Amino acid sequence: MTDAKNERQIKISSSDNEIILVPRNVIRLSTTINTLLQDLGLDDDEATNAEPIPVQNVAAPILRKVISWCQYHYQDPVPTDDSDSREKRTDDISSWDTEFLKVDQGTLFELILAANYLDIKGLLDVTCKAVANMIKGKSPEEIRRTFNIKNDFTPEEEEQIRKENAWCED
Amino acid sequence: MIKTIMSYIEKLGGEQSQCLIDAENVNNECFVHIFLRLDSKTLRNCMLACHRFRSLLSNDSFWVERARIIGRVNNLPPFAWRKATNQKKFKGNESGEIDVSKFAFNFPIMVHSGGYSTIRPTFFSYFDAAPNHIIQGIIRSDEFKIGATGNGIQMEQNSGYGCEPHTDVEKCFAFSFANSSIYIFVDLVAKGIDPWILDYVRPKIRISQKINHRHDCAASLTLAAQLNYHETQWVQENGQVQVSRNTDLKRSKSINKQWPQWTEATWADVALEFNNYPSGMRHLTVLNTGKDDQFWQGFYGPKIANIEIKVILPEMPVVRPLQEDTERKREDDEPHNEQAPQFRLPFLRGRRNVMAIPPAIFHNPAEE
Repeated sequence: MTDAKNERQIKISSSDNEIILVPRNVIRLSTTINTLLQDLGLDDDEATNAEPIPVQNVAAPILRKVISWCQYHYQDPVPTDDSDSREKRTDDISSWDTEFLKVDQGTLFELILAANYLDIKGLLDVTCKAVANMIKGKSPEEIRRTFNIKNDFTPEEEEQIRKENAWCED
Repeated sequence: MIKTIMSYIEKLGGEQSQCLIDAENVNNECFVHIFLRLDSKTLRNCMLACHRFRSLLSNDSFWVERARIIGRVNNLPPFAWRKATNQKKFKGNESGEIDVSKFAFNFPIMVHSGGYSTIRPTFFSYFDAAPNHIIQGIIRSDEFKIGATGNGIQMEQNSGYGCEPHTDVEKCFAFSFANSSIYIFVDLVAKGIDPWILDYVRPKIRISQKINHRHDCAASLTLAAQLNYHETQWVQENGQVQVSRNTDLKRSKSINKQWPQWTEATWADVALEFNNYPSGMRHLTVLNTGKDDQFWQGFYGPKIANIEIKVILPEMPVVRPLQEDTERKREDDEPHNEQAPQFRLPFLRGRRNVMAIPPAIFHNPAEE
């Protein structure tokens, strides 16, 4: 097993200009940064990149949380195509991830945004599952409350949607 | 260097994140990712939450992606069809004779209810639950009706008693000495086959199954299928002919099979295909009716297995002008006849097509 500490470090900077060092192998989970390093030819250098890579959409507290998730998961086996069917299950969140996701709703959404932006498939999956679990089985009104949404339908429109989607009743 | 990186990142897109989180601050993509992991009913409730969610969930690409994630890509029409339907460009309509502007796939129903994947009937579970896997009398649901006289119909394992084994036949259904029937009702629109497809494309509809008999007993079997307008579900005027001889009409087809005693009991494939049916068809009924030809106690009649129904779109997306029905029957116009008061007992519906009622001496309920 490769010791992450001996690996090359990558410098990234958060939206609030904090610079964070992260092992190359760990940040590999972010397809966005991975592709960036390769496309910009920064992957050949032995040394740490002099200029930090700006992750301008993610603030430092969230970025640190994202990196801690990557640090725990970077040695996970790469998911294959036929593991896709796993995604539909939302009850298979590991205990480490459950602990990790014990955050307020704001942070959870920040994590989804960050996972989406950095393109970290596993983190996106687990955070979306957590939100999906929050609204599973809820009424439209409860869903509105969860996301702070105003009802912008007329009763006629509502009736129409119910009619069009009668298929889901069974 | 930093400039290059910045512009690269800008190219990757994304909105500025803020600390205040409500739906307003979460981009559509994130919601789509969350929706993809929800069950059907919660999805419907999300559609009812607000216009924004509804429009996200009205997007075809959401449902295509959902089908992929829940392992149901076979429910979808082929890519060429999705593309043609999106662009409203079909072969056979270069002059624009057919108004295709409203042709669109109803993806939610398709993904949820089966769509273009192979339809396998659900009556099996009733046999699983029945004592000795035997059904006697009449069982009816929206999707099937079993009318079993004589000793009934028995589900058998391992290719069936008295038959040569076949690797593809795990369980089969054996008929007894009196004509019994298994009707399968398919509501094509409820499965997700859109009405415009049934009217203007009229894709091939294929019904296939395996059939066999015991080598030590003569047997006869009819496999018949009808395309119908309503939930009438079985048009007698056609049906009576279908079970007496092979028929090959546009809306009704049948294969009648007889096996003499002491003939080879190998599993054979049979199939019915509808290619040239009229517009307006919404329902399919498939009937298997059979009995042994020697009136033996027990399950010496024909056997059926692996019933499958498939709606097969042509490779090239094509539309055709409406086709008139030349085989319209009185029952098509009076679909609710059967529900008239004199037929109050829903159990007795369809009883008329039991073609042979056995002499009483062969019926031995004391066996129970």
